[in-house]
Amino acid sequence: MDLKNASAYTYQFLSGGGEMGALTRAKDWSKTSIGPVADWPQSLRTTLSIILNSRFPMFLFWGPQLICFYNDAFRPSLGHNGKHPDILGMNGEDAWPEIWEIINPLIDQVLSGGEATWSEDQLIPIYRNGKIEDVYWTFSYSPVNDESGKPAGVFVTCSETTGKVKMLEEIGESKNQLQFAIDATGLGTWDYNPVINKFTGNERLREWFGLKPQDEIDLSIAVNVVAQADKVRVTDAIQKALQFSSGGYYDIDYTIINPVTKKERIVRAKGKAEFNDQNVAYRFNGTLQDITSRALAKRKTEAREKQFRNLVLQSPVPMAIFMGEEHIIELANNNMIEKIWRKKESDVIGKKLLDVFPELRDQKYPELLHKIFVSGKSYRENESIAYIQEDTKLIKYYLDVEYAPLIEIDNTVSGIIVTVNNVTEKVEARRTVEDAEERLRLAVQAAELATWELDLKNRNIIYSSRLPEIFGHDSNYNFTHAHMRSQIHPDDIHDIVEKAFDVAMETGVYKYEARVVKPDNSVSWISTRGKVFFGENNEPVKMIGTLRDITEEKTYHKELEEREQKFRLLADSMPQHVWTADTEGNLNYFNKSVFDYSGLTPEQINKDGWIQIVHPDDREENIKEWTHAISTGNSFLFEHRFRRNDGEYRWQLSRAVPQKDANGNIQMWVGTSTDIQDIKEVDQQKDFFMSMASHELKTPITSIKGYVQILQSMYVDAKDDFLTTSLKTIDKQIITLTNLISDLLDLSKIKSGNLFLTKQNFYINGLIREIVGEIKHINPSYNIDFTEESDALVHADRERIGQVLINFLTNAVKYSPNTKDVLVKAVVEDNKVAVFVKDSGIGINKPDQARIFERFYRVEGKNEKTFPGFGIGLFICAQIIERHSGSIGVTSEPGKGSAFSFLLPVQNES
Amino acid sequence: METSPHILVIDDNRDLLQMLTAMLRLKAYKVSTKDNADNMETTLSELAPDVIFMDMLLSGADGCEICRRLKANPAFSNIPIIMISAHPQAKDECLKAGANYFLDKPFEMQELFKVVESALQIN
Repeated sequence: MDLKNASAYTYQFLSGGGEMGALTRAKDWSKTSIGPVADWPQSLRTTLSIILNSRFPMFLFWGPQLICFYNDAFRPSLGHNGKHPDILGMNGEDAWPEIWEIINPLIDQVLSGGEATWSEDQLIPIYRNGKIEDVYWTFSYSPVNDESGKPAGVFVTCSETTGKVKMLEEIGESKNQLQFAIDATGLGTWDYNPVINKFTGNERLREWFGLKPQDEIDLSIAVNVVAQADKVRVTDAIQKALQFSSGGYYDIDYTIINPVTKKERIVRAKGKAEFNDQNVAYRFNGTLQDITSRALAKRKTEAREKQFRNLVLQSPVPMAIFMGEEHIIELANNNMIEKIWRKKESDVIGKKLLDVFPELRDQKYPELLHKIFVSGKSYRENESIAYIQEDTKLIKYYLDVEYAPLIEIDNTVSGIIVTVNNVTEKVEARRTVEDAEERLRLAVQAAELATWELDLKNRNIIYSSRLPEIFGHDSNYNFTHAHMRSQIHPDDIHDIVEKAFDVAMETGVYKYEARVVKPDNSVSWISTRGKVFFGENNEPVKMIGTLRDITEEKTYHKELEEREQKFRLLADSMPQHVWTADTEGNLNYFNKSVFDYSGLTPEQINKDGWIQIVHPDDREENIKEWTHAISTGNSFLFEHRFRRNDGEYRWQLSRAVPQKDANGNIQMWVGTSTDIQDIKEVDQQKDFFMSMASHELKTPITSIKGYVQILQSMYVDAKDDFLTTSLKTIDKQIITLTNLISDLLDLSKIKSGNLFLTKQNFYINGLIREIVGEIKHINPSYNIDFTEESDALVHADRERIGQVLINFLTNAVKYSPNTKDVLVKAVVEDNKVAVFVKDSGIGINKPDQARIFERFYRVEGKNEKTFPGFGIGLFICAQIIERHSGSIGVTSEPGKGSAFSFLLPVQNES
Repeated sequence: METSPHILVIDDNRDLLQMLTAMLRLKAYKVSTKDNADNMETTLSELAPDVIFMDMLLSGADGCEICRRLKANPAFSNIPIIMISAHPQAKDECLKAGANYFLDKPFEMQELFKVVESALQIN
């Protein structure tokens, strides 16, 4: 540090001053034009002292070179990486080249004795921060006189106002923008002074109201422009806003009509009144907005919405709209409500979807609907199945259901619109086609069909891989038409295949079954079917067809034929007539015996039916029985007469049983008819014999019985016990014998169908009384009690019913040898009379009860052996009662007794 | 003194004829017998019975046919005819032919008496 610099510390005026103070002191001023500090005039020293110690930005140009000084406060104006600190002690012109043109005149003006300058917010761009920046300044240039009283320097006080100016510019801009916004939005502005009742508005408003520019007008004139319908409302709203209690707010829509152009405008007025200390409105201003298009748009939207609603409601397609996140059913047409939902309108409209259909909660729907609502993307369910009530039945439908978001103008989703399309017909049609295709495909697969296409011009053949396999090759074997032909069995090639080909060329249908010789010399059968396609000139162009290996079928057929041949041989060798029938009962096979017997040809039987050989008297019953067997599946058993080739009718016993498959379904009926003429004749002879025998037997019995009774009456008073007892025994045995003969006779009558009834009307109790009396007479030791309750008129064969009663009673007596108590009762119920004969005898066990009414059935057992009889009595009883459309029955407990009963229909008294 | 009722019994079975005679005589009826159906009208004219008792099956004649003939003849039509038979359908045929009563073979003696008495009531 040299002396002069070091001495600078000694100068009081340079003390302090912060950074700039330090820099000023450190500077070697001797090398500058103003010379060492020691030589500086007082005026410079004083000025510098002020500058360095001031907090206000200050600058000094000094001397003829305009050497630069500045303080810490000025320093920020020089920015970074710019002039600071280099311009300290620099010539003015060197320091400020960029603005020298601006400031030099000011400096000159001041130095030449002019007034101090004042500039406000002057744009003086300076170099700082590495670039020229627009900087605004407010500054003053004033002279600093030296000791001679002449200006020696220019004192600059300045402040940068860039910030202020920028802000002002921004304010100005936003003001412009506001104005622009008002202009752009087309707002009218208005201002009303309630005190003087004057109304002004911006240009736009005036134009709308048809007012002249710059007019201040009466409010009433402005109100007059308001459409008549809105006038009162507007006036009221203004009055209300002007009252302090309203808070001064004003917001109303109304229509104005331009008095000049008559143009109508819908406007929204917004404003606020201001009130003084006395709560009196002194100002009321605001804006007016033309909302004509919006209002019209709204009206249009409303109309459109109405149209839309109608569209939904009247749509033939079921439609519904769910609004909001909760899917409230806003709208649904009848098709949707009644057909799809099967609800009532009042049950759905305005309700939440999931409340109406709680069953949907656990399904995919809540999530699905939410997704549509959030994403705005529609969702489609195709061909979902629904059952829809139509009249009284549920019908299956295929429905396409579309859930589409209801998107508002602002692109938000407000709801979901559901449409249901009935695609049943379409689906069913397609399913039918698919089914057909599938079936065809399966058929091809299942039948292991080969397919082929033959070009008839060049004999090129295209074929499926199955074809070479059928011919005994690998599936990928390369085959020609000629090769195929060469493998056809030599015996079949000409007579079958070539012939079929010729026929195909004429008829268009190709069809044959032939043998194929495989490479291993084995023979298999093929079946070919094809169709010829003809060209424009009717010339055969190509043939498309299938080919199938039918070896197994052929073998099976052959086996079947052989088997059938065997069966036929067997059937034909039988003397019996053998026949079969289908499940409908149509006879479709007769063995040789049928043709031999009847002398008819198969054609004759086919033409006029098998019934022609049945005796005319037997036909009706025959058909009835056969139809019954077919409809019930029960075996058929019938006796009828068949006409022999010589015209004689002979009795046949026909029997047919259904043949069932593994599932028990009837497949066919197999029947036989056996000639029973000879048996029948023997039977008839037997019946005749029985009838005759019983008749012939009865005559001697009548004699015997008569003589016994004569003797009894003659010796009624005789003391000869042996005689009377013997006669009594003979009489009883004759009764038994007579009954046995009667039973045999009846049996033969039943067998030959000659049990004729002579029906008459009679009261049942009378008959019971009579019979009980007779049996009592013969069995005086028995206590036979007839309790008469209700009586009934019946239409029946009195003697035969009496016979049944006798049978019941004699049985009761016979089988209760110890108890001797027999109870008889008649009960009327449900238009039927039931007659009971109850004993307390030995009883009958369960298995026997079921069979007791069968022919020749006798209860077996050591006790029963002691009771005589043919075991046909109850069988005859059952037959008699059956022929009266009644029923017969027994209840019994071994050791406790039996109760036999029969039921007869009651005859109406009228 | 009133004479006993006169009953004509016709049957081709001699045993039966004897038995019936014995039985009817128990009641002290006057009994005439005939073992065939020949010359019926002559016999009836001669005997003038109160009741005719006749088997339906007679060798060489049909009881029903005779019955019909007699009933068609005003001279004899009022004589009650009782017919007997062991044949199952006999009753209907006999009654149809005009017989007043029918008895199944074999019959109870008391039954016979009852029938005869009833027949006598008619006459």
